[in-house]
Amino acid sequence: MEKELKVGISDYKIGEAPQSLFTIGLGSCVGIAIYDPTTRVGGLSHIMLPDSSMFNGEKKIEKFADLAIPHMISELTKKTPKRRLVAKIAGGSSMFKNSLNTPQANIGLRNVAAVETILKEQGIPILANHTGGSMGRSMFFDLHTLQVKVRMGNREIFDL
Amino acid sequence: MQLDIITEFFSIGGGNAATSLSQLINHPVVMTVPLVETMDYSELFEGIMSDESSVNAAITMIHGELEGAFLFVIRDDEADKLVSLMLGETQGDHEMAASAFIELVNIIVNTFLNAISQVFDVTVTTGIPFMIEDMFGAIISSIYMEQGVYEENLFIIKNEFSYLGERLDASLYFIPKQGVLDELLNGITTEKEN
Repeated sequence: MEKELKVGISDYKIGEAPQSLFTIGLGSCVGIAIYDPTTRVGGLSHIMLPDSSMFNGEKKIEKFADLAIPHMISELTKKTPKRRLVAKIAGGSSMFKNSLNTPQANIGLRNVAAVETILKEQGIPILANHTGGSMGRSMFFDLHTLQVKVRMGNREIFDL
Repeated sequence: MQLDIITEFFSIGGGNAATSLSQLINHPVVMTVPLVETMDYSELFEGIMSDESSVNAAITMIHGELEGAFLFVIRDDEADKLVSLMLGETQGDHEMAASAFIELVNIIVNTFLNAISQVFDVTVTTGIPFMIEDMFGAIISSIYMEQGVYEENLFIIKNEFSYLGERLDASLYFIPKQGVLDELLNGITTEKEN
């Protein structure tokens, strides 16, 4: 069993203690850790976009908040009951301080809003979050200690 | 054929940018053959630059017939080296160093665009570069998305500069707005056929 699992952009991974999951370089993307504190089974998702319904054609499930989160939850509930799941989220910044005047500039905020809505619909409480601002983040989720750490672009570290 | 045109574009632009860079820092700067390739994020982070790398970057928005953004990226320690070559020792004056860095990128990008707009007859205007210090992974993914590119497969266009045989690890990326390159290439090939 691999000790540390790296979650890439538009991907999610599931693990259990003593494994840890991490994802690097969340800009406007959002990282979502969902876990059961009792069994220490959990997953980490790195979504890029809020809503798959804006796009046609073949869609990568792991890319969109509205597809990735329910899929990750249903994988987790094969191992652990849904009612015990909790979440911590980080990311969704506006990296360029609105210097880029494109309609896509607020995508970070839209990602966070979508993630919050979907978790609410799924009945999963958000225990902690570290979102917004204009700095990148990496997220480290230790399933053994259940600690979620966020490391900012300037190397500052926060415990969620 | 189309990739050849883009490579040509960035050879000419990058060559001129290298010349202006060497004048600024008073040392010979050379440019490698531009990288023009399609790859996904994991290939980019494994093969070109780690997503965790702390970098200094300057972003310049481009409007007109070539819409998109230029991203000049240099590792934190190399940025200090570059600025001290330009200014002499700055004695840790961060503001001065940042403004010198922005000016340097402004000159590189505008030299680049002047050169290609003369050869290929494209009209472009540039915004003022703005600086950002962060992880490479967060910067590059966010800038592609802000250009409306949501694919996993990225079209990477990159010039790399080196000086005195050392890798300077300074790169200039062009991130085209979604669909812009197709339009531009169609325009150029149609002109040639006529």
